[in-house]
Amino acid sequence: MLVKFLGFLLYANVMFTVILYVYIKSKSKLYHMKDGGSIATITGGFLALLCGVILIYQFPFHFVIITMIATLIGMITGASFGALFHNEALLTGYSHGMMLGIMAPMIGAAAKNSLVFLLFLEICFLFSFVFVYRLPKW
Amino acid sequence: MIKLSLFLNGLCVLYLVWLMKKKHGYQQKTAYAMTVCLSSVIGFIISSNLQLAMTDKMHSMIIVAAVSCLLGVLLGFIHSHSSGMIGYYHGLTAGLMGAMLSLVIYNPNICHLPASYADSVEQHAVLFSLFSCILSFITIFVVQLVIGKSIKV
Repeated sequence: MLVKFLGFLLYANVMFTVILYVYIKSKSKLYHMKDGGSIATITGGFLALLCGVILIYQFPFHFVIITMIATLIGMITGASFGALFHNEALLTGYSHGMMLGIMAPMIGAAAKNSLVFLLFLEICFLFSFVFVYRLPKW
Repeated sequence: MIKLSLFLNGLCVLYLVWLMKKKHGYQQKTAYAMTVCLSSVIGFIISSNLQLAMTDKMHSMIIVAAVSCLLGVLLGFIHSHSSGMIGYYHGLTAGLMGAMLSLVIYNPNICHLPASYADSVEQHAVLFSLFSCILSFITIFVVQLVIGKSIKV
């Protein structure tokens, strides 16, 4: 049952991130420049974490390749979000996305295909996006 | 292959140190961010390759973490003392993480990975060392990009 909706979950996470990227890009004047590092860290890190966990649930025999994919996803996402603000945010998002991407498949493998753990991560992910969305209003 | 990758990564570290010593003129916060990024990435790359190279030695994890710490401090002290402190912390964290990843590659039972995975440990180790080389090249590219943008004209 878990395998059936893993692909959908991955697709939904990526689409959420893309929508958030487009939103921040269009409303970048609302955000302070100093928030850039936090936004890059949170988005890159969470997407890398979820991609790594979902992919290792789906393909448990390809640990190294999934580590590479999750790392690259984290690096690209963190750097892209950071590049919307300034150079320091780019570097921060890049390094934190890489770290979470490396850790993610290990966490996923240790979680032993737990559905509850995946749902917990999804809830954390959605909360982080709500935080980023609400940031200019606080 | 792992030793070649370690050599290439060492050359990348030397190039990055040379680059950061040569180019001055960026702000303190850029130096901070650069230290965090470089000590994390370089610490991780060097520590994972070192751990892969000496996985059967005793206390290899301590040596690997110490080397990674030293690299972080070295990269941080190019800018200032506080950057050195940040580099020390991030270097240690990245070193421990790299060592852990290499240990998982060699012993998949740590993370409850399937037993059939253990048949291709060597192949995965080589693949991972290649990936670490690519990672260090990407990092050099990103740092050059950031330095080029940050230098005051």
